[in-house]
This record gives sequence, structure tokens and C-alpha cells, in this order.
Amino acid sequence: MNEIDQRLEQLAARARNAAAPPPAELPLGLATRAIASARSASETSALWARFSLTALPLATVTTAACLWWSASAMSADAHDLAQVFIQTPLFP
Amino acid sequence: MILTDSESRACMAAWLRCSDEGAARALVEAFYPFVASLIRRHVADAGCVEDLAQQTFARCFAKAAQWDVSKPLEPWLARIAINQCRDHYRARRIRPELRWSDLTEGEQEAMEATLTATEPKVETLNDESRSLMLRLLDTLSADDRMVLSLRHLDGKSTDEIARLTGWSRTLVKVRAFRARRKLRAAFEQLEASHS
Repeated sequence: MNEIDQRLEQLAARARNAAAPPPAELPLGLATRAIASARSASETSALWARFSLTALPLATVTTAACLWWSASAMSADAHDLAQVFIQTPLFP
Repeated sequence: MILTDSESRACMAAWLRCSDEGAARALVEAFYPFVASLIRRHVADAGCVEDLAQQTFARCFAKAAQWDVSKPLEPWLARIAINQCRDHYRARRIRPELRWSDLTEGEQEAMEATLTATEPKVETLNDESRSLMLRLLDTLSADDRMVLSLRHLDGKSTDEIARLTGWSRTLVKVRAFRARRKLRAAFEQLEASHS
């Protein structure tokens, strides 16, 4: 252990021996504030959970609708394209 | 108000079951002295103790479902309080360096005693030394500060620090080694600014 370490160790030993602070009195209203804060934190997380559960089926239905609409548009496009090919004379 | 281990478990169970406010109040009344003294040992600013204690209890009640019923409540509460202290120091700006002129008269006296003493004397300047030590720790990051604060001010072992912080033993050892190197540098800088 070098000199600086010894000094730091000595300082720490003195610091550990510092007088313990007097026992803390419970501040007025601290329990009420802590309980209210815990409840609001729980309510926020419950709200997010409920929102997520509601949003999930909604998102599924929206995705399915988009896929169906996109597929029907594609089949209509294919039908139109086929009509164009049929009606276009191959040897003008 | 003092609660036995089984009483505190019963109170937590009542809070978990039906958010029983009476049980929560009993827990706060019983454990406030323990939580406040733990925070006071690690936070230099006495004005923050009440806020940090309140946050500790709020987190304890909000996360009550995560508490392992088979274990006593006190170590779990201590772990939450330690994490709150760490978050408190994470939010503040680190003091880049500590100079002789920044110290109070008592802290200068404690530093003089440390620099001149040939053998450790632990009976004088204890409060001033604690204040000086906290100031030196202020030059470190939140995690470095916490590991050295637990080791040097609380005299905790590696295992105890690992349990309190949730870090592995190896991480505690590595962090303590690096933090001590930084503390040494801060001490040397302070010494140089004096001479």
C-alpha cells in the first residue's frame, strides 16, 4: 500500500467514526405522499397495459383490412391488364 | 414503531392483496429511520433525504409484486434506497476537481491532519473527515461513488455490496479498483492545490 492509499485509508477510518446522525423523525405526510405516488405509478402502468390490450386487436383488424384491400386492388389491376392484352391486336 | 419480520411481511401482503393504506403507513413508520439513515450516509445534501426516502417507499409499494416473500423486507428496501441514491447522483453534474479553496475550515483541518499524521488516529476530526470524504467522492461518477461509499463509509464487504447493488462480485471488484484509482487522483490533485 503506497502513501496516498494509507492516507485515504486513514481518512476513511475517521469518516467511518463520524457521529451517527440523530434518529430521523418521520416527516408529516410522507407516508401519504409515498402511497399516492405508488398508486399513480401503478395506475399509469395499468393504463398502458389496458391501452396495449385494446390496441392489439384493433391493429390486427386494420392490418387485415389493408391486406385485403391491397390484394383486391392487385387482382383488379391484373384483370385490367389481361383485358388490354386480349383487346390489343397482335399483328396490326 | 417497530415491526417484527412476520408483521412487516403481513403488512406487505395486505398492501399487495388490497392496497391496504393502513398497512403501508405502518411500514413507512417502521422503516423510515432505517431508510433515512441509510440515505444520509450516502448523500451529502441533507435536504434530499426526505425526497429520496419518499421515492424509496413509493417504489417499494409500486413494485411490491417483485418482492420475494420468503426473504426479509429490510435488505430489499435497502437495495431500493441505494439505487435511489445512485439515480440521484446520476442526475447531478460531476464536480470536475476539488481544490483546497473549495474546502471549509474543518475540512481543511481534516486534510491537514491526514497529510501530516504519521500513524492513523481515529479519535479526532471524524465529522470533518466524513465531510471531506463525501466531497472527494463528489468528483466520481454515480456508480464509482456508490461502490466506494459503501466500502469506505459503510465498511461493506464485496459480497454485501454485490447484494445491495445487484452487481456481480467481479463487477464490484473491478469498479472498486477503478474508482479507487480516480479517488487517489482527486486526492493528489487536492494535495497539489494546497502545496
